[in-house]
Amino acid sequence: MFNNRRTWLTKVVLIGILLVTLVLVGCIGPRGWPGTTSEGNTLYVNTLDGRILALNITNGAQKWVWTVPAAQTGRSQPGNLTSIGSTFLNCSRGGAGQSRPGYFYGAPALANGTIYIGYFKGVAYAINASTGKKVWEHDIKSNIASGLTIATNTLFIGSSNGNLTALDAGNGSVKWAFSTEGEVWSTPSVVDGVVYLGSLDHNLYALNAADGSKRWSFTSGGVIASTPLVVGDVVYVGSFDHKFYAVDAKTGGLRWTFEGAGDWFWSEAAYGNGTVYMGCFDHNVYALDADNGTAAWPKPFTTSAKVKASPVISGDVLVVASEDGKIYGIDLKTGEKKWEFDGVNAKVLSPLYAAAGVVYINSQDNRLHALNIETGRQIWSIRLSR
Amino acid sequence: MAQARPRITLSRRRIIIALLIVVLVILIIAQVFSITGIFNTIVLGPMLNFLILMSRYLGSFGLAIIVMTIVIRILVFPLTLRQLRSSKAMRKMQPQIKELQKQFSDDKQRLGQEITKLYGEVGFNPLGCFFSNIVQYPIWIALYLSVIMALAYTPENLVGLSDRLYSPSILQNSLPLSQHFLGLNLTQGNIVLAFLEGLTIWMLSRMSTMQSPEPQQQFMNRLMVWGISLVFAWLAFVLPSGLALYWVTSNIVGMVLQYPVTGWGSLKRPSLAFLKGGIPHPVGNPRAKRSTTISIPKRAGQGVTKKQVGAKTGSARSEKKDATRDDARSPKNETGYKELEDKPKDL
Repeated sequence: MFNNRRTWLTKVVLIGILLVTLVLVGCIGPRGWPGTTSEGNTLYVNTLDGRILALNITNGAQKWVWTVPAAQTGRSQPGNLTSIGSTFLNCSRGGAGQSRPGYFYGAPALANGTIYIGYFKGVAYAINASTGKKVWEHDIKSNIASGLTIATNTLFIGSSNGNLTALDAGNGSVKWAFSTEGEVWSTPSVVDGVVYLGSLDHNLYALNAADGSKRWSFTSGGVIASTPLVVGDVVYVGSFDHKFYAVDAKTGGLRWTFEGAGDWFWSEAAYGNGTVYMGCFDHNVYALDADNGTAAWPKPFTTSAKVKASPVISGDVLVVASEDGKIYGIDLKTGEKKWEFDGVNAKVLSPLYAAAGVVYINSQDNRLHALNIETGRQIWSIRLSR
Repeated sequence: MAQARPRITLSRRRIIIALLIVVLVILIIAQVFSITGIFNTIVLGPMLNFLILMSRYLGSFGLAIIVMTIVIRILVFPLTLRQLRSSKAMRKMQPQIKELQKQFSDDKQRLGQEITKLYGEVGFNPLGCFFSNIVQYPIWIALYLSVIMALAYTPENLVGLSDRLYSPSILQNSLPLSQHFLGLNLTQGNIVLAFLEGLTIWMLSRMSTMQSPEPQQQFMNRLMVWGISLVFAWLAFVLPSGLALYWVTSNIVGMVLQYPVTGWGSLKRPSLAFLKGGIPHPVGNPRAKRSTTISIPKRAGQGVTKKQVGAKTGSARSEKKDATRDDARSPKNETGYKELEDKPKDL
């Protein structure tokens, strides 16, 4: 009797170990932080379940939908198993509604009536913005964990093998590739024929957009995962060394450094009225004079969690989302809170997007929220999953 | 008298542990702190930061995984040892338990009492194995999570890492960790490591598996060993090979540490036969045959009394080491095996 009970207990324990392992495995896989962009009266939204939606900007009604081919969603890296695990453990901060892996990082890039997106498993897609039909696809053979940038008919894609790949936006053929020593998880910025990108190898690079040749590099004390902000002849970028840098766009020389933060900078900074605004993992939002890096507000604005999502500016309001799903409207000049919205009820990691006085927020429960920027009132909220 | 002292100590220890658990449960219910908070603060945080620190000083994350796994394996070895000894003791008591089951088949309450007495005689604690596991699992889960987080395979992993990384700049500036080790990309699956993972987990499981005289049970055990091996080999193939490196290292160190206790265990016997012939018959399995023929006929009609077991307990104590080694390393020594089966107190 005891022996049987013990054997039974052993089986239960073994099966339990296996289940725990499978659940833990679920926490490894990517989820993504999809974003939003718009043109005219259409919003283009990536989702956490591997789709791109074209929505009516006024009411969120769907115009068309495009889905990542099943062959991509199930290939190589953890797939359905991790979905089971992550959904069960909710370690992916969303869980509900994700019927298939999404893996988009950042908003779609939009130019000349075409949407460009990078799927985590290494494939870049060009989609006709009017019809939702695929134009071309290109496999860059490495994970894409950043947003894409398009400029001068060239698509720039950072990838986990440390490369920045430039593709012809018309047909997806490779123009050139530049290698760094670390993953490129920062969305490239392209201004005046120069590509600026951060790398996990601690460097900020400036490359010629035409041929990928290096102009200069600037070394910080930590990982650079945030998107560089270029204003005039200065590049602003935060690093994991808790510092925020202003770098000369032409030479790569250091203009000034802000050292008052207590954690990583990941989100892209925003610029307005001669001031640079950036969110930090130390829960604060900082406002610095763009010329010299001195504090523009009497004190940083403190949120309730780390700030990963890139903030946006509209009028005299800075909109910031903390990771715990709280959205804040902050007075640009004073740093005082104008409004707060806590109806998202899910984590927010995706970059915010603002258009025509409305801020759009992709949350990790696969919903899209539209808020009035002046008042913070919700205009609509839609579920993006099927 | 000599036996009474440890019992009192054990009892006090149990009371203290029980009190601590009660206090812990009350604090968790009162939301003074959470289970995950305790786990993160006490186990995961220190382990993760130490792993990153080691990879900085060793210059390789792969090497840090290996060293860390070895250190943790050695640290928890006393618990593993206790678990192995419990399994072994259980195996050796099978003949006696079977006879008790026969003798008291109509009186379940008496059977329970007699088995409890038998456990007491040989100093076997049926919950010992369970508690050893309970203590070890959080440590292994923490090491597993540390490897995943430190690998920062996805941006989400890196975001999560920020919550648990201590503030010294030496740790902050160590990121990202080098993902290449001996030609492997630790963030990608590797078929060689997957094969090694399957092989080593199969070997370790075979070394640890308690041999059952029941054919059905044998079949289930083997099925489970093969199932676990294949599942983990597959996981090692599809997941970042940093995890496979940790698993393979852990299995190899486990085998090295376990060998002096269990020897090769059931690893010596062919285990593929069941795949060809379905459920194995006792006749086809030497160990099962021996177990059956030893335990049942020898005690048939004789029964087991408290006195007999106690006497054997005393006499076998001096033979402990030799007998264990014979059992582990000498499959042909049938006499030795029989002696061990008859002397379950030899722990």
